[in-house]
Amino acid sequence: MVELNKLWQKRFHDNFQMQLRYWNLIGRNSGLMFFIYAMILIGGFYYKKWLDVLPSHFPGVLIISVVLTLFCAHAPIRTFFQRADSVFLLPIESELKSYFRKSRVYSFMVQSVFLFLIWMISYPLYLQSTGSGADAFIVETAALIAVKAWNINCSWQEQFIEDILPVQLLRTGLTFFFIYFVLSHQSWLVMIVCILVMLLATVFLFYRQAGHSLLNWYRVLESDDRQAMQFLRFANLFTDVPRLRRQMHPHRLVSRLFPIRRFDEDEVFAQLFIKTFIRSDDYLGMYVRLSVIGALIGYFLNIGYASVFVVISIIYLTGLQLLPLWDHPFPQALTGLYPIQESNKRQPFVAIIFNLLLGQSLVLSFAAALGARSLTSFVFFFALSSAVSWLFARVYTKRRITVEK
Amino acid sequence: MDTVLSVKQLNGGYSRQRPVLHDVSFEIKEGELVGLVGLNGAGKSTTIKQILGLLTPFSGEIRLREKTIQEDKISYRQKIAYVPELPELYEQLTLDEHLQMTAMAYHLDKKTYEERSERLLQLFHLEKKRRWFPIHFSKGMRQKVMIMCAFLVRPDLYIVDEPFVGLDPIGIQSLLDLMTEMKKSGASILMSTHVLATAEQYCDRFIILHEGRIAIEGTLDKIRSRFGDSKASLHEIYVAVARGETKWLS
Repeated sequence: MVELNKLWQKRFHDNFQMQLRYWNLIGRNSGLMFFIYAMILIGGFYYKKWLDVLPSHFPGVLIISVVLTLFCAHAPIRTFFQRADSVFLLPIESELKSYFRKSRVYSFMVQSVFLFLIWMISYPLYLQSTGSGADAFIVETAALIAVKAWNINCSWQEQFIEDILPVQLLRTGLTFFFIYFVLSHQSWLVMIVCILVMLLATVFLFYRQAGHSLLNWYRVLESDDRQAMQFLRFANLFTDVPRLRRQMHPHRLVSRLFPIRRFDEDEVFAQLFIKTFIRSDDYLGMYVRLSVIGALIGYFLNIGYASVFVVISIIYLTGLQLLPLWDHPFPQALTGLYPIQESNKRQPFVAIIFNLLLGQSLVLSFAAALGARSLTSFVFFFALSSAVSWLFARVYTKRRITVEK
Repeated sequence: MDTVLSVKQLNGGYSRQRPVLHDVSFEIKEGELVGLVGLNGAGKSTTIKQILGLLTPFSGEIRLREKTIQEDKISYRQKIAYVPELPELYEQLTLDEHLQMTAMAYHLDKKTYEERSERLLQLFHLEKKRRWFPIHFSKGMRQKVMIMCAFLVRPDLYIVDEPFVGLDPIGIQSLLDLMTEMKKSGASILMSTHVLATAEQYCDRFIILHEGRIAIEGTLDKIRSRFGDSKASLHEIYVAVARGETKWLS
């Protein structure tokens, strides 16, 4: 059907545009581009050094086969499905054949590019391990792409199969043997047997099982959602992705450190903010990441008293990223109706910001002082960073949230 | 019996250009369960939002125990508990923590909280889910959490918006039992619903809203006698009002 073809095209296009916008944002992050460039150069340098001292019995081919198998056998189909499709597209499932074919081709192409990249990265190690020349490169690459296509095809059949774990294991196993046989240049007979087993499995296991089952829409939807999220989560490392908000992690262990101690009305928002900090979105993750990065920089940079600038800037950055906690949406039917004074919301918030920053000051000052091996510098760092924490919370934050309300 | 809630000549809505409520007046006394009935868009939710203080009246006034919300916001809020039509929960809090927040916000002491929450959890068969997060709750379970939060407080006035949708039969019965019990202890309840058969059984009085005005108000018997059919069900009367067959009203 023409409309359905257009639907796939449209969704592909929308997705492409969306990814392009995020790539654009990521690319503009010049610090990041520099970092990646530096990583490639440094990585390449050490990779070569490592290859030079590689012992002759190093199982390079085996390791490469395992890595390539993982990238080959992980073959999710990007259908661009949306939740509502399980209602609106379900009745015309049988007419979606070409829609799904396009999805398979698309998934195959995208994943092949990644596979090829991994293959390129491991190729120097491969040449070093086998000691042979690069004359079979094209055949090997073609074999990898072919087995990717096989995986995509089987992975699609799996969407019709109820219990997929056994077939997935079989698929992964066969993929591994195939790749290993190709890369270790086994005899033609072994190859032919392997291909035969794969074909038989395709026909008698995948197609036969899938033939008389129904498409598992829920699983397809979930898989697509996961793939979409994967990209967004990656983009979220560099820029703010609104769709990724509203995630929740129980973090039971950390939560246990902050039980409800008093049954007091000023404890309500103290609890709400601390539990939101621990469990919602990525506040805790951001706090821990910045603390760890700050501690590492402080420790390794080792620039004496000047390290205080590192400590203070990390505290300032953390503080800035904690501020959205104030605007975190709470349910109106509950929070909106609590008989509590506005000041009983503001005070706990300021206190929490201060305590979090103070805790971070302690960690960062300790790490920086450890690098400098001096107790006086610890006292100096900690005194200054607590002062900054105090100013940030009691003065800056307080003013920000009072102006808003 | 004392008047708990009095609404006088209330005009209100979301924008002054297009008010939803026109001249709405009614009272609710202690120990009364009043049913608020009307078509979709008749103004039930707007009325409720006005009473909760989520919307400000354009004119007229709402008094809860003789005080408006402007006079004393905290004590006004203290006297009211709300079960919304669509449950809204903290995604980042467990069921237990929801109850604890409510208890703290409404100044319950720990002992009272424990007694009441224990009983509510049993009543709604949620004892084993105390440490669960809302993501794992169905619509009905979320609704039960909202109901539990409201009934934990034991305020003077309960406002319950369409509570039956999505609740299982045990949940519905538990809610009805709770409402009856609270009524006996002197609380007032304003309940909006479309489930008329149940409303007929449990409500003391009805307010039928139509296009933002009170079409008729009173006990079922009073409404029936005005309707002119002593055997008419609330459903029949309500459909008549909704279809505009309102000659008997004037």
